[in-house]
Amino acid sequence: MNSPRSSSRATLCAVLAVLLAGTGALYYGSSGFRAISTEGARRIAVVERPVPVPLARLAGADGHATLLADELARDGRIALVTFIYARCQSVCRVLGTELQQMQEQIQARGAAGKVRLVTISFDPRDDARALGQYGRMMKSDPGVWRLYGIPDAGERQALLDAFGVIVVPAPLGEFEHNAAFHLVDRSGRLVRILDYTEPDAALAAALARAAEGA
Amino acid sequence: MRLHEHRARLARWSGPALLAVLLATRAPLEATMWRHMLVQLPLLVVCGILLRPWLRLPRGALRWDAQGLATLAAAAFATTYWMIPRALEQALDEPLANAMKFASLLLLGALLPGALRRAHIVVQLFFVANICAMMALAGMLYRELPQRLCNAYLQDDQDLTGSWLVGLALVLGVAWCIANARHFADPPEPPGPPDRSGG
Repeated sequence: MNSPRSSSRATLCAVLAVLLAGTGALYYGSSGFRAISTEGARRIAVVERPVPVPLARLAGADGHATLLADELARDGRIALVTFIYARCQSVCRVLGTELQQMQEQIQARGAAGKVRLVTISFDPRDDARALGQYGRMMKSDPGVWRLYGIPDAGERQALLDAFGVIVVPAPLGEFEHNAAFHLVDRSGRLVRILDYTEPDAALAAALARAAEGA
Repeated sequence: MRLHEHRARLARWSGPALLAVLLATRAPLEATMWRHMLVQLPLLVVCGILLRPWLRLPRGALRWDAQGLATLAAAAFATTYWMIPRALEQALDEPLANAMKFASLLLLGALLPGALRRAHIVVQLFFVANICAMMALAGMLYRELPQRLCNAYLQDDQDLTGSWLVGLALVLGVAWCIANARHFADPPEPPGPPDRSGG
């Protein structure tokens, strides 16, 4: 009933439609052909739409509780926020050493008034004592680098969700998590995410941001 | 006769049964990357194939899919899309993305057998080779990259998924060759005048 010509034209239209729809889907799925990993997409999204820090009460290694947003706003410095768990034997060990070196760098450059390090544990087992111990082990100088836990499970999860940090339980009581430096500006917005393998770039970005607002 | 009826009923209900199993086992299948990508996704395509007795193509629809070209192009896009780690992870977090995953792969499965039947062997070879090559490359990429591609899945899981993707690409390619082995046989000698060119 249908002539071969009408069939081939219809098929051409259908294939074109598939190409358009498929390309559109791939564009959407890869954040505009820029990222294939969730982490890559998260980093792009944060630059385009900064994320305000949600309500979360911190318990510091020094024992007193404050709101994260208040803490960041009152301080007036650019914060490089990292997430860890104190028992970590893998990535956060590397991150811890890097933070230690960054602390030295900040002190050496006399930038302690502009940039600071904030480390938040996502492990509910990390109480003030565990965090204090971790801080001493890392020789953290409270003027530059502070460690916090978030005792309330709901608030902790809300912060992780807002920042896009996903924690997966791994064998041997460990966790795997997307470790990174989270650059938070003075108004308490997450504005950039840099890979944990690039501490120098993270520090440079934080200093640049601090100079911008000064 | 009875056995035949029994078989027909079994064939008819196998699709809905598999779909029910896939819906019920979503959580365990999506808990690891390799089960998600290499068990659930292929089974969704198989489920689509089994659901065909329940679906009827609208009249004249085949006009739009000569040589199965539209379906096979869609197959290439669908396999590519669901091998994007971020797309896979979105299906975990967003119900709409998960619904799209189910719908796209079930539909693909439902259309695929007819499309393959209509497609010339060269057309089939083009798409099968393309999809297998893409799968193997994605698999190698998963294994080679030092960083995690999905935040929700462990690095070891990603390596395993990579290896299995390469394996699946090989299996699919070999299976296609076996299924089409008859096309590779030498065509029978056409009866003609004897060769007189000498030599």
